[in-house]
Amino acid sequence: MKNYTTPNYNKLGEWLDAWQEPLYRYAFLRLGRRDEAEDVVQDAFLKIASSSTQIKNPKAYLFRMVSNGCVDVLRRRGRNIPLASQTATPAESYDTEAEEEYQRIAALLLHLNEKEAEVIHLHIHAGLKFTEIAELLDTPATTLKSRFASGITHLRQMLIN
Amino acid sequence: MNNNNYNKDEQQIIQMLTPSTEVKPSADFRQRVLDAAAAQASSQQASATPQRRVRRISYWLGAVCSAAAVIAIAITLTLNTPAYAARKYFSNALISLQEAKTMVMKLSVRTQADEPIDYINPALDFVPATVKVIYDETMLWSIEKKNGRTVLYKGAEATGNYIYQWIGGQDGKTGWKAEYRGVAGDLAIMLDPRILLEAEYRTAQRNKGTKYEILDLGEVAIVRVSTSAQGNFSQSDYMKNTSLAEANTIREYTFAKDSGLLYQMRIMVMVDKKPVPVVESESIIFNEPLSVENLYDKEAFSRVEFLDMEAEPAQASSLTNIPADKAAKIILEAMHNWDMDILNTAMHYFKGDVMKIVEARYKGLKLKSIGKSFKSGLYPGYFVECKVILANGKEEKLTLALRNDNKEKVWLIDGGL
Repeated sequence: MKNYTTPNYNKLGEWLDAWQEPLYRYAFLRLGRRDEAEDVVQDAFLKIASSSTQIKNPKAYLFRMVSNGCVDVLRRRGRNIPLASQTATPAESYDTEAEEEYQRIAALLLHLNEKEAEVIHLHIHAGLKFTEIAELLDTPATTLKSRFASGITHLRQMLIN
Repeated sequence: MNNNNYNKDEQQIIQMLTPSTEVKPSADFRQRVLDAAAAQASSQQASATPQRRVRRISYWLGAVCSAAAVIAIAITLTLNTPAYAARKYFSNALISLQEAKTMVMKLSVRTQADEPIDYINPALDFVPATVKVIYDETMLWSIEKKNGRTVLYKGAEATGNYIYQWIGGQDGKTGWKAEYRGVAGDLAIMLDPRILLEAEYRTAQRNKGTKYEILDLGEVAIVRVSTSAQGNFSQSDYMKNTSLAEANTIREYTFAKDSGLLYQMRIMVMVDKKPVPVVESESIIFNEPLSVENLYDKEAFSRVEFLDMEAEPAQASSLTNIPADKAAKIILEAMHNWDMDILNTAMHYFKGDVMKIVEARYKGLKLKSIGKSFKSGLYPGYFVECKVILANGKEEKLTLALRNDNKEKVWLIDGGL
């Protein structure tokens, strides 16, 4: 790569190698569609690449961008659709196994509130530590741990019942 | 994530929330992002230098601009790869269409008015067609070729859930009904731009063997998609260019940039490496008041006798377990004396008035020659070329379409007469 206008362009390859997979996994398990997940992650990388300022914590920046992107997609998708059916129903079968996993996990997370589900996505699917999520969501790590525990407990109780 | 911090029950739940399969981006994702970033960077550099302003043209002027003029004034959007930019347009249009309640689209299609709705032929003249759709819980719709075939789905009825087809024109009494199983293929393209755009969006996402061009005209943007024909043409090109799916096409979508809505579409088939327009939208109007009664001509509909296409053909041992060309020979020979034992089964799709017309033309024919059966394109059956001498002494060349994808595996004539 050459002649890039911002210093961030030169680091793009390095950032892609480090975070494209957890970012994609996180986006896919929120959206359930490869095309939308890749769009959201690509948008985040393009945004950070074109930013004229040096990003202090690119990992947090990228996850924040992807999280916001997912919210936008879900909001658009959910404009006319009841909440219970907001999970994506992909029309193609080239990603069947991953799509089935998404459907299974999304069905479980529907029983939790948004905040609990968000921490679970970021901790389990994106593999972020609670301290990293704390920075991302601007929320104390202890609160996040408690949300996570509460989500797990809800699911356990639901499955027992 | 370290699972050791959790007790056994919690670990089980965490395990359930963890995907059991790999969830990874596409193999070329990294390169696509780098390419898009490079394109973005060069675009930003280019936009830093002063450029002559492109005159904003009105929608109508945009609609009538010749392709050459369009190219001359166009700016190619290079923010990202063309496929990525195309996806954005398709995606925006899909979002805009979420709110659509009805659509009336006037089209010009190179086709024959009484042939099936998805039949196209670049050599024929344009026939006006109207597509009307109500985007209800179940999509209700009609497609009518002027003085030709109409296809209608008006929702579930007490007697069943049928899709109706009939041919207007001279008698207007010929019709068929079949169980409605949703729409697919070219029909879906004409009925629901959302299905079309969704398909295009996904094709753009995969971006294999498909080329994209984006032309920014100010108020509108044109996305031009070039795709290759689908189907098997290794045995014969007979079905090439008879439907949009079976043709090398260039599809042009014009989007209004402010609303994101699809504003115009044009589909061209490549014939001898030259694009020939076969479908052109004259107008696309969304959210005009439209009820089921407006979808079709009730009076014409009431005159039609609809044959039930769902009924299974009768058994006919002479037309099973043989190749298609042998079946064609038996059927054509049966036409000499109009042997109803064979023809009643073999001509399952030709009942009522249609059967009378076929009988009047072909009764008494003599088979002169018959070729080997072959497959072509996406057609599920076989084709057989033959020469016959009609009762009046005239020679006629036929290409019969036969299929046996029914429960009894009986060969039936599906077309070509």
